[in-house]
Amino acid sequence: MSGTKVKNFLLNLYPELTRFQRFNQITATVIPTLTPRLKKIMRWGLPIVTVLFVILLGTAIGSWLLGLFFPEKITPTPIEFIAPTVTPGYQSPFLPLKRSIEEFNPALPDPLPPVFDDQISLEPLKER
Amino acid sequence: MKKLFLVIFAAIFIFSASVALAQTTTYLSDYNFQLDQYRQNYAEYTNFKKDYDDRPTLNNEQKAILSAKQTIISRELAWANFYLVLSESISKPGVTYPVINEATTDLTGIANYHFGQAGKAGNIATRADLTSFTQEELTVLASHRLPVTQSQVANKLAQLIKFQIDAKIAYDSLVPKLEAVKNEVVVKNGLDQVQTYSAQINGQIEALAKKTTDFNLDESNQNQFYATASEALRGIRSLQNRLVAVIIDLDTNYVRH
Repeated sequence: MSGTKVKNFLLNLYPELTRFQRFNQITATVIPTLTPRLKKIMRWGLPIVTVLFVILLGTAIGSWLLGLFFPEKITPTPIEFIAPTVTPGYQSPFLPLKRSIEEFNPALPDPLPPVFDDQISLEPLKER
Repeated sequence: MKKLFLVIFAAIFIFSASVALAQTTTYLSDYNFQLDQYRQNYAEYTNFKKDYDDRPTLNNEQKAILSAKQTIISRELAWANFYLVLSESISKPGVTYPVINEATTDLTGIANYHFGQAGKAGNIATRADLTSFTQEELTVLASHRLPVTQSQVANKLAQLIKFQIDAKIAYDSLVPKLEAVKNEVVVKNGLDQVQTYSAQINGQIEALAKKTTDFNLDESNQNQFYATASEALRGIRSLQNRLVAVIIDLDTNYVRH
Protein backbone atom coordinates (compact mmCIF):
# COMPACT_ATOMS: atom_id res chain seq x y z
CA MET A 1 0.00 0.00 0.00
CA SER A 2 2.65 2.47 1.10
CA GLY A 3 4.90 1.17 -1.71
CA THR A 4 2.29 2.23 -4.22
CA LYS A 5 2.12 5.67 -2.63
CA VAL A 6 5.85 6.11 -2.95
CA LYS A 7 5.75 4.85 -6.52
CA ASN A 8 2.94 7.32 -7.40
CA PHE A 9 4.84 10.10 -5.69
CA LEU A 10 7.98 9.35 -7.69
CA LEU A 11 6.00 9.02 -10.93
CA ASN A 12 4.45 12.36 -10.22
CA LEU A 13 7.89 13.83 -9.85
CA TYR A 14 9.60 11.94 -12.68
CA PRO A 15 7.10 10.72 -15.30
CA GLU A 16 10.03 9.45 -17.34
CA LEU A 17 10.35 6.55 -14.90
CA THR A 18 7.52 4.69 -16.69
CA ARG A 19 9.97 3.99 -19.46
CA PHE A 20 11.89 1.64 -17.16
CA GLN A 21 10.49 -1.88 -17.03
CA ARG A 22 12.07 -2.53 -13.66
CA PHE A 23 10.28 0.42 -12.11
CA ASN A 24 6.91 -0.85 -13.28
CA GLN A 25 7.59 -4.11 -11.51
CA ILE A 26 8.44 -2.57 -8.12
CA THR A 27 5.06 -2.97 -6.47
CA ALA A 28 4.78 -6.51 -7.67
CA THR A 29 8.31 -7.70 -6.81
CA VAL A 30 9.81 -5.62 -3.96
CA ILE A 31 7.04 -4.59 -1.66
CA PRO A 32 5.30 -7.93 -1.35
CA THR A 33 8.59 -9.62 -0.34
CA LEU A 34 8.75 -7.60 2.93
CA THR A 35 7.85 -10.04 5.66
CA PRO A 36 6.38 -8.60 8.91
CA ARG A 37 9.69 -9.32 10.67
CA LEU A 38 11.79 -7.55 8.01
CA LYS A 39 9.32 -4.74 7.98
CA LYS A 40 9.73 -4.31 11.79
CA ILE A 41 13.52 -4.32 11.50
CA MET A 42 13.46 -1.75 8.72
CA ARG A 43 10.96 0.40 10.60
CA TRP A 44 13.41 0.85 13.48
CA GLY A 45 16.65 0.20 11.69
CA LEU A 46 16.32 2.86 9.03
CA PRO A 47 15.90 5.80 11.46
CA ILE A 48 18.76 4.52 13.64
CA VAL A 49 21.09 4.08 10.67
CA THR A 50 20.04 7.50 9.37
CA VAL A 51 20.74 9.17 12.72
CA LEU A 52 24.16 7.45 12.99
CA PHE A 53 25.00 8.41 9.42
CA VAL A 54 24.09 12.02 10.11
CA ILE A 55 26.23 12.06 13.28
CA LEU A 56 29.26 10.55 11.48
CA LEU A 57 28.84 12.85 8.52
CA GLY A 58 28.56 15.84 10.88
CA THR A 59 31.69 14.82 12.77
CA ALA A 60 33.63 14.35 9.55
CA ILE A 61 32.53 17.74 8.24
CA GLY A 62 33.32 19.32 11.65
CA SER A 63 36.84 17.82 11.69
CA TRP A 64 37.45 19.05 8.17
CA LEU A 65 36.28 22.55 9.11
CA LEU A 66 38.44 22.46 12.28
CA GLY A 67 41.45 21.64 10.13
CA LEU A 68 40.85 24.86 8.18
CA PHE A 69 41.10 27.04 11.31
CA PHE A 70 43.82 25.27 13.32
CA PRO A 71 47.30 24.50 12.03
CA GLU A 72 48.21 20.95 11.38
CA LYS A 73 49.93 19.15 14.22
CA ILE A 74 53.66 18.93 13.65
CA THR A 75 55.26 15.81 14.97
CA PRO A 76 58.98 16.33 15.56
CA THR A 77 61.37 13.96 13.92
CA PRO A 78 62.76 11.50 16.44
CA ILE A 79 65.99 12.58 18.12
CA GLU A 80 68.86 10.44 17.02
CA PHE A 81 70.01 8.40 19.93
CA ILE A 82 73.16 6.44 20.30
CA ALA A 83 73.12 3.63 22.75
CA PRO A 84 75.84 4.09 25.39
CA THR A 85 78.66 1.61 24.99
CA VAL A 86 78.93 0.67 28.63
CA THR A 87 81.91 -1.46 29.50
CA PRO A 88 80.99 -3.60 32.49
CA GLY A 89 83.14 -2.87 35.52
CA TYR A 90 84.86 0.13 33.90
CA GLN A 91 86.03 2.77 36.38
CA SER A 92 86.75 6.17 34.91
CA PRO A 93 90.23 7.49 35.80
CA PHE A 94 88.54 10.84 36.55
CA LEU A 95 86.60 9.49 39.55
CA PRO A 96 89.35 10.48 42.05
CA LEU A 97 89.10 14.07 40.77
CA LYS A 98 85.35 14.03 41.41
CA ARG A 99 85.95 12.69 44.91
CA SER A 100 88.54 15.41 45.62
CA ILE A 101 86.06 18.08 44.51
CA GLU A 102 83.34 16.57 46.69
CA GLU A 103 85.71 16.53 49.67
CA PHE A 104 86.76 20.16 49.14
CA ASN A 105 85.85 22.18 52.22
CA PRO A 106 84.68 25.72 51.33
CA ALA A 107 84.59 26.90 54.97
CA LEU A 108 86.78 29.86 55.90
CA PRO A 109 89.16 30.35 57.62
CA ASP A 110 90.86 27.00 57.03
CA PRO A 111 93.28 26.20 58.68
CA LEU A 112 91.79 27.87 61.71
CA PRO A 113 94.30 30.34 63.19
CA PRO A 114 95.39 29.64 66.76
CA VAL A 115 94.14 31.87 69.55
CA PHE A 116 97.04 33.52 71.38
CA ASP A 117 97.29 36.21 73.98
CA ASP A 118 98.93 39.06 72.07
CA GLN A 119 98.86 41.40 75.06
CA ILE A 120 101.44 39.74 77.30
CA SER A 121 102.69 42.50 79.58
CA LEU A 122 103.08 43.35 83.24
CA GLU A 123 101.92 46.91 82.63
CA PRO A 124 98.71 48.25 81.17
CA LEU A 125 99.08 48.73 77.41
CA LYS A 126 98.40 52.00 75.65
CA GLU A 127 95.20 52.25 73.64
CA ARG A 128 96.08 52.10 69.94
CA MET B 1 126.47 2.42 32.63
CA LYS B 2 122.82 3.00 31.69
CA LYS B 3 121.73 1.12 34.80
CA LEU B 4 123.99 3.24 36.94
CA PHE B 5 122.40 6.44 35.56
CA LEU B 6 118.93 5.06 36.23
CA VAL B 7 119.83 4.18 39.81
CA ILE B 8 121.32 7.65 40.39
CA PHE B 9 118.30 9.32 38.84
CA ALA B 10 115.90 7.26 40.98
CA ALA B 11 117.92 8.02 44.10
CA ILE B 12 117.84 11.77 43.39
CA PHE B 13 114.09 11.63 42.73
CA ILE B 14 113.36 9.72 45.95
CA PHE B 15 115.63 12.04 47.93
CA SER B 16 113.91 15.21 46.55
CA ALA B 17 110.45 13.80 47.15
CA SER B 18 111.28 12.77 50.70
CA VAL B 19 112.86 16.18 51.42
CA ALA B 20 109.72 17.96 50.17
CA LEU B 21 107.46 15.67 52.21
CA ALA B 22 109.63 16.00 55.29
CA GLN B 23 109.57 19.80 55.03
CA THR B 24 105.76 19.91 54.98
CA THR B 25 105.57 17.52 57.89
CA THR B 26 108.19 19.57 59.76
CA TYR B 27 106.20 22.80 59.56
CA LEU B 28 103.10 21.09 60.86
CA SER B 29 104.87 19.15 63.60
CA ASP B 30 106.84 22.26 64.61
CA TYR B 31 103.59 24.19 64.78
CA ASN B 32 101.95 21.53 66.95
CA PHE B 33 105.03 21.34 69.18
CA GLN B 34 105.21 25.13 69.64
CA LEU B 35 101.47 25.29 70.30
CA ASP B 36 101.88 22.78 73.12
CA GLN B 37 104.86 24.73 74.45
CA TYR B 38 102.86 27.95 74.34
CA ARG B 39 99.95 26.41 76.28
CA GLN B 40 102.29 25.18 79.03
CA ASN B 41 104.24 28.45 79.14
CA TYR B 42 101.09 30.53 79.11
CA ALA B 43 99.64 28.61 82.07
CA GLU B 44 102.87 29.25 84.00
CA TYR B 45 102.93 32.91 82.95
CA THR B 46 99.34 33.39 84.18
CA ASN B 47 100.34 32.04 87.59
CA PHE B 48 103.52 34.13 87.85
CA LYS B 49 101.70 37.24 86.71
CA LYS B 50 99.04 36.65 89.36
CA ASP B 51 101.75 36.26 92.00
CA TYR B 52 103.37 39.48 90.79
CA ASP B 53 100.05 41.35 90.79
CA ASP B 54 99.37 40.09 94.35
CA ARG B 55 102.92 40.67 95.64
CA PRO B 56 104.96 42.92 93.31
CA THR B 57 108.40 41.94 94.58
CA LEU B 58 111.52 42.04 92.41
CA ASN B 59 111.75 38.27 92.55
CA ASN B 60 108.14 37.83 91.42
CA GLU B 61 108.69 40.40 88.70
CA GLN B 62 111.73 38.51 87.36
CA LYS B 63 109.82 35.22 87.39
CA ALA B 64 106.89 36.82 85.56
CA ILE B 65 109.18 38.47 82.96
CA LEU B 66 111.08 35.25 82.34
CA SER B 67 107.87 33.31 82.00
CA ALA B 68 106.39 35.97 79.68
CA LYS B 69 109.52 35.80 77.54
CA GLN B 70 109.26 32.01 77.17
CA THR B 71 105.57 32.32 76.32
CA ILE B 72 106.24 34.97 73.68
CA ILE B 73 109.04 32.92 72.09
CA SER B 74 106.82 29.84 71.78
CA ARG B 75 103.94 32.00 70.54
CA GLU B 76 106.10 33.64 67.86
CA LEU B 77 107.48 30.30 66.71
CA ALA B 78 103.95 28.85 66.62
CA TRP B 79 102.74 31.80 64.53
CA ALA B 80 105.69 31.47 62.15
CA ASN B 81 105.08 27.76 61.63
CA PHE B 82 101.34 28.30 61.26
CA TYR B 83 101.94 30.72 58.40
CA LEU B 84 104.44 28.34 56.81
CA VAL B 85 101.85 25.55 56.99
CA LEU B 86 99.33 27.84 55.29
CA SER B 87 101.91 28.95 52.70
CA GLU B 88 102.85 25.33 52.01
CA SER B 89 99.18 24.45 51.55
CA ILE B 90 98.82 27.26 48.98
CA SER B 91 101.96 26.21 47.08
CA LYS B 92 101.17 22.48 47.13
CA PRO B 93 98.84 22.42 44.08
CA GLY B 94 101.60 24.17 42.08
CA VAL B 95 99.27 26.84 40.70
CA THR B 96 100.52 30.18 39.40
CA TYR B 97 97.94 32.92 39.80
CA PRO B 98 98.44 36.56 40.93
CA VAL B 99 96.47 36.34 44.20
CA ILE B 100 98.19 33.03 45.03
CA ASN B 101 101.72 34.23 44.28
CA GLU B 102 101.08 37.34 46.35
CA ALA B 103 99.76 35.26 49.25
CA THR B 104 102.80 32.99 49.42
CA THR B 105 105.14 35.98 49.31
CA ASP B 106 103.17 37.75 52.07
CA LEU B 107 103.06 34.63 54.25
CA THR B 108 106.78 34.00 53.91
CA GLY B 109 107.40 37.62 54.97
CA ILE B 110 105.03 37.30 57.93
CA ALA B 111 106.59 33.98 59.00
CA ASN B 112 110.06 35.53 58.83
CA TYR B 113 108.83 38.46 60.90
CA HIS B 114 107.63 36.07 63.64
CA PHE B 115 110.89 34.10 63.53
CA GLY B 116 112.68 37.42 63.98
CA GLN B 117 110.41 38.36 66.85
CA ALA B 118 111.15 35.02 68.55
CA GLY B 119 114.84 35.99 68.41
CA LYS B 120 114.16 39.50 69.60
CA ALA B 121 112.04 38.25 72.49
CA GLY B 122 115.16 36.59 73.87
CA ASN B 123 116.47 40.11 74.64
CA ILE B 124 113.55 41.05 76.90
CA ALA B 125 115.03 41.71 80.32
CA THR B 126 112.89 44.36 82.00
CA ARG B 127 109.23 45.18 82.47
CA ALA B 128 109.63 48.11 80.07
CA ASP B 129 111.22 45.84 77.41
CA LEU B 130 108.22 43.53 77.66
CA THR B 131 105.70 46.35 77.34
CA SER B 132 107.53 47.92 74.42
CA PHE B 133 107.83 44.55 72.65
CA THR B 134 104.12 43.80 73.02
CA GLN B 135 103.12 47.32 72.04
CA GLU B 136 105.13 47.12 68.83
CA GLU B 137 103.89 43.59 68.13
CA LEU B 138 100.23 44.67 68.36
CA THR B 139 100.81 47.37 65.74
CA VAL B 140 102.47 44.93 63.32
CA LEU B 141 99.85 42.19 63.90
CA ALA B 142 97.13 44.62 62.87
CA SER B 143 98.92 45.15 59.56
CA HIS B 144 99.08 41.36 59.02
CA ARG B 145 95.32 40.89 59.23
CA LEU B 146 94.63 41.84 55.60
CA PRO B 147 97.26 39.66 53.88
CA VAL B 148 96.37 36.74 56.17
CA THR B 149 92.67 37.04 55.30
CA GLN B 150 93.51 37.20 51.60
CA SER B 151 95.83 34.20 51.97
CA GLN B 152 93.04 32.13 53.48
CA VAL B 153 90.95 32.67 50.34
CA ALA B 154 94.01 32.18 48.10
CA ASN B 155 94.54 28.79 49.76
CA LYS B 156 91.05 27.69 48.71
CA LEU B 157 91.37 29.21 45.25
CA ALA B 158 94.62 27.32 44.67
CA GLN B 159 92.82 24.03 45.27
CA LEU B 160 89.89 24.94 43.00
CA ILE B 161 92.21 26.14 40.21
CA LYS B 162 94.10 22.85 40.48
CA PHE B 163 90.79 20.97 40.05
CA GLN B 164 90.10 23.14 37.03
CA ILE B 165 93.50 22.33 35.51
CA ASP B 166 92.96 18.62 36.14
CA ALA B 167 89.50 18.80 34.56
CA LYS B 168 91.01 20.51 31.50
CA ILE B 169 93.63 17.76 31.20
CA ALA B 170 90.84 15.16 31.48
CA TYR B 171 88.79 16.94 28.80
CA ASP B 172 91.76 17.24 26.44
CA SER B 173 92.50 13.54 26.78
CA LEU B 174 88.84 12.67 26.20
CA VAL B 175 88.15 14.69 23.03
CA PRO B 176 90.26 12.55 20.63
CA LYS B 177 88.60 9.40 21.97
CA LEU B 178 85.17 10.84 21.13
CA GLU B 179 86.13 11.70 17.54
CA ALA B 180 83.96 8.94 16.04
CA VAL B 181 80.81 10.02 17.90
CA LYS B 182 81.44 13.73 18.31
CA ASN B 183 78.56 14.70 15.99
CA GLU B 184 76.00 12.61 17.84
CA VAL B 185 73.52 14.85 19.66
CA VAL B 186 74.18 13.44 23.16
CA VAL B 187 77.96 13.70 22.85
CA LYS B 188 77.76 17.14 21.26
CA ASN B 189 75.54 18.33 24.12
CA GLY B 190 77.97 16.87 26.65
CA LEU B 191 80.96 18.62 25.09
CA ASP B 192 79.01 21.89 24.90
CA GLN B 193 78.09 21.57 28.58
CA VAL B 194 81.77 21.11 29.49
CA GLN B 195 82.59 24.33 27.63
CA THR B 196 79.75 26.23 29.31
CA TYR B 197 80.60 25.03 32.83
CA SER B 198 84.31 25.77 32.30
CA ALA B 199 83.57 29.32 31.22
CA GLN B 200 81.28 29.85 34.23
CA ILE B 201 83.84 28.41 36.67
CA ASN B 202 86.69 30.50 35.25
CA GLY B 203 84.51 33.60 35.50
CA GLN B 204 83.60 32.90 39.13
CA ILE B 205 87.22 32.15 40.07
CA GLU B 206 88.34 35.42 38.51
CA ALA B 207 85.54 37.31 40.29
CA LEU B 208 86.47 35.85 43.68
CA ALA B 209 90.18 36.51 43.09
CA LYS B 210 89.41 40.13 42.23
CA LYS B 211 87.15 40.50 45.26
CA THR B 212 89.96 39.11 47.44
CA THR B 213 92.56 41.46 45.98
CA ASP B 214 90.23 44.45 46.36
CA PHE B 215 89.23 43.51 49.91
CA ASN B 216 89.68 46.31 52.38
CA LEU B 217 89.57 45.54 56.09
CA ASP B 218 88.79 49.15 56.98
CA GLU B 219 85.54 49.06 55.03
CA SER B 220 84.47 45.44 55.32
CA ASN B 221 84.01 43.10 58.17
CA GLN B 222 86.37 40.11 58.10
CA ASN B 223 83.72 37.55 59.10
CA GLN B 224 81.32 38.91 56.53
CA PHE B 225 84.03 38.63 53.88
CA TYR B 226 84.75 35.03 54.87
CA ALA B 227 81.02 34.20 54.69
CA THR B 228 80.66 35.74 51.21
CA ALA B 229 83.86 34.11 49.94
CA SER B 230 82.79 30.78 51.39
CA GLU B 231 79.47 31.02 49.54
CA ALA B 232 81.31 31.76 46.28
CA LEU B 233 83.65 28.79 46.86
CA ARG B 234 80.62 26.56 47.42
CA GLY B 235 79.16 27.73 44.09
CA ILE B 236 82.41 27.04 42.22
CA ARG B 237 82.68 23.58 43.79
CA SER B 238 79.13 22.78 42.73
CA LEU B 239 79.86 23.76 39.10
CA GLN B 240 83.10 21.77 39.09
CA ASN B 241 81.21 18.76 40.39
CA ARG B 242 78.79 19.00 37.48
CA LEU B 243 81.61 19.56 35.00
CA VAL B 244 83.52 16.47 36.09
CA ALA B 245 80.29 14.43 36.21
CA VAL B 246 79.73 15.20 32.50
CA ILE B 247 83.35 14.29 31.67
CA ILE B 248 83.00 10.99 33.55
CA ASP B 249 79.67 10.28 31.83
CA LEU B 250 81.22 10.85 28.39
CA ASP B 251 84.23 8.73 29.29
CA THR B 252 82.22 5.88 30.77
CA ASN B 253 79.38 5.68 28.27
CA TYR B 254 80.59 7.02 24.94
CA VAL B 255 84.25 6.05 24.70
CA ARG B 256 85.10 2.53 23.56
CA HIS B 257 87.38 0.98 26.18
